[in-house]
Amino acid sequence: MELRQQLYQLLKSRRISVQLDALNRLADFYTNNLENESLSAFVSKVSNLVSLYGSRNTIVSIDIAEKIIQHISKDLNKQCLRSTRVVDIFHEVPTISLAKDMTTVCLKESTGLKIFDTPENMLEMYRIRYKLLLSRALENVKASSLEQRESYSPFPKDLSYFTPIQNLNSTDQLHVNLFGILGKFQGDKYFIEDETGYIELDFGENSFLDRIYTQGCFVLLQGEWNGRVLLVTHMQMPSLKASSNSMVENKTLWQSYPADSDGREENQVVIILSDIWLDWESTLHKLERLFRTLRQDNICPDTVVLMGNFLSPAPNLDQEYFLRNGFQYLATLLHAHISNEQCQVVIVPGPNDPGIGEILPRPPPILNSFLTPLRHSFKFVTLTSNPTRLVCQGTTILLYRGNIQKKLVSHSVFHLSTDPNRLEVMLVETMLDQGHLCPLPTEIQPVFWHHEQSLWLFPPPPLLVLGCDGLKPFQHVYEQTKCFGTGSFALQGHYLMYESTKHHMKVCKIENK
Amino acid sequence: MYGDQATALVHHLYKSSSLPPYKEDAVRQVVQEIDQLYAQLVQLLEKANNDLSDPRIGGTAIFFHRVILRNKRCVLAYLLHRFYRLRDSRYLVMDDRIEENLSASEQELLTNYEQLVATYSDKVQIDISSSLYPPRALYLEVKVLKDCGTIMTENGPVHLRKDTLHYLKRTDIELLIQQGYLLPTS
Repeated sequence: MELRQQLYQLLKSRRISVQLDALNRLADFYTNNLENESLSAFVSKVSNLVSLYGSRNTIVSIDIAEKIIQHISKDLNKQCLRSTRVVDIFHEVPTISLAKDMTTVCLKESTGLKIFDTPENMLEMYRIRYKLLLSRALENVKASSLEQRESYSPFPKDLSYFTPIQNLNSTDQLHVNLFGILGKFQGDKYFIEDETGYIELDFGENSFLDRIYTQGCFVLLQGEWNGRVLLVTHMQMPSLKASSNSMVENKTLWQSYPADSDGREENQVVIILSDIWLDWESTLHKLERLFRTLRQDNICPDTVVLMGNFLSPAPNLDQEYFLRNGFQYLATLLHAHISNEQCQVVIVPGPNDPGIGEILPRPPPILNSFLTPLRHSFKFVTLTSNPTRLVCQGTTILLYRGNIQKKLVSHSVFHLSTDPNRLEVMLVETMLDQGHLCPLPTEIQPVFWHHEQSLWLFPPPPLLVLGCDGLKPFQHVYEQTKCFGTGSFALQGHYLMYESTKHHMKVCKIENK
Repeated sequence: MYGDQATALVHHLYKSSSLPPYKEDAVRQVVQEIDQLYAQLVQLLEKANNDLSDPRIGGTAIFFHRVILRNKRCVLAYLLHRFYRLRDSRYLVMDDRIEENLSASEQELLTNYEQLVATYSDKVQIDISSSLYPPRALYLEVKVLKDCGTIMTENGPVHLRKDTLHYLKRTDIELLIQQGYLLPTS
């Protein structure tokens, strides 16, 4: 049955008559703002408010409906004020798009969830990122701030520093600087492509190990063109250091809710755990120890972020049983040890959790029924996507749980050193330089194209939290971005704690007993 | 005389056919009387050291106790019957005057009751507040008494302007008739 019809029936059963435009307004409001709430709960709220804003014996007009909606929105905002806000990747991330003249970009509001998209739009995404990185490469970004919807022109008219690939057709010998995207022919041959054409590359004996170069990366190349291939003498990524300031102000992109009305900023504590293998008894013990320790130390988290995977990688026949029981236990544990009623539990799916497999951004997959016990204990349980963004008193924390380092390393053009510390640094710098959480072509890492921009790191977030299998917890600061690796809670007992007043995140550990 | 107030309270409700205004004062006086009687009873028993063998003391104690019980029963009967009438009036034409006659706790009770009924109706998927008797006709001719604007019906939207006549499905407009927006002409 259509939502409007359902709403009408429910209102009727509560003896409320409503005009058509008011009904439409209420249905729209419900669809846009309260999808997580059941329809009958929404109707109960409306029913209570009807007597407040009018008599029960009068028909609900559009004016009364507006008043009711205002009241409900106010309540919603109040709830959000107390907690850290989770940005809905599918609905709230504004999209950067090219204007008609192809030289300016503008910000548009998100058009909402869309699974399928056309190849033209996919190309468009590449084109925008190409332009943004080109401008970064030319160190010419002047715009320091940008109001939403306002357009500006960051691309310099003078592009003569880089040679368009098309121009190489007419010569046999040239020392060139190129900017383009790396691709791979069959076999071990690579090529570079820009808007005008592509040419084959020959790296010779050179290997460039400052970043992880893979196909799909945007790079700056220097080399000798011999009429057939380009002998690469130097290669680098469009460094983040080059762009002196963030292109788009964070605040305009990720608007946070206003602080408490009295201006006093309360210290918000966010606990981030990754790899909570609910089928391992030792994990459950560790969880209990963790929350007991927090309570003993008088730390009352405002937000607990639980990142996948929620099951160990061992083949498991009875996944459903373990997930159901595990979340039940988790709910009891959190309820027993966290006294804060307003505590928000955020659940980020991991790569092996049940749901839509590999495609990014990954929609919230874990079945709602598993989380019913959690919902009973906490008012705010948010199932969110992977990657996801939290806004904690104006600071954006980007969380991504995926085995990105494995993918990048296995598709790297050059053989990488095995030093894990170096690998982490390279991983973070590659991601930030590329402005993308997973700079790989679509055959290696499928994405929902319409929502690809939620994987972009324009502007670089102040805090980036990566959960990767096989990486120990790490911390690396690159320009304005502090990046943290969560490590594995199930294996080593590592977790992250963020305090909003100090803007400080630290890696903590629960000892194995 | 003891118990008069309580009797008057019940009589007040008995004489009226609809829901009369809530008599806050009378209820309070009865409760005060109960308190007073209880204090006297305790005093009496203390004086007699709980020895009720003397018929004068025993009789008085039993009298006080019975009056307390009677008063309590009257007040409870008054409250319960008011709720019954309130519940029944919910399915009839409920005018604003009835809402004015309610006490604050009755108002809350009504809201919670309606909430429960609605939740139950949602669960069993039957509108249990609808009439138990089958209607004589599925469609009704009605006259619009007050402007209603455009409303939704099973057959699509209908604009109900004042002083117009419409022939509509009964289930769509039952509520509006009860609320006094429409008047059946047939």
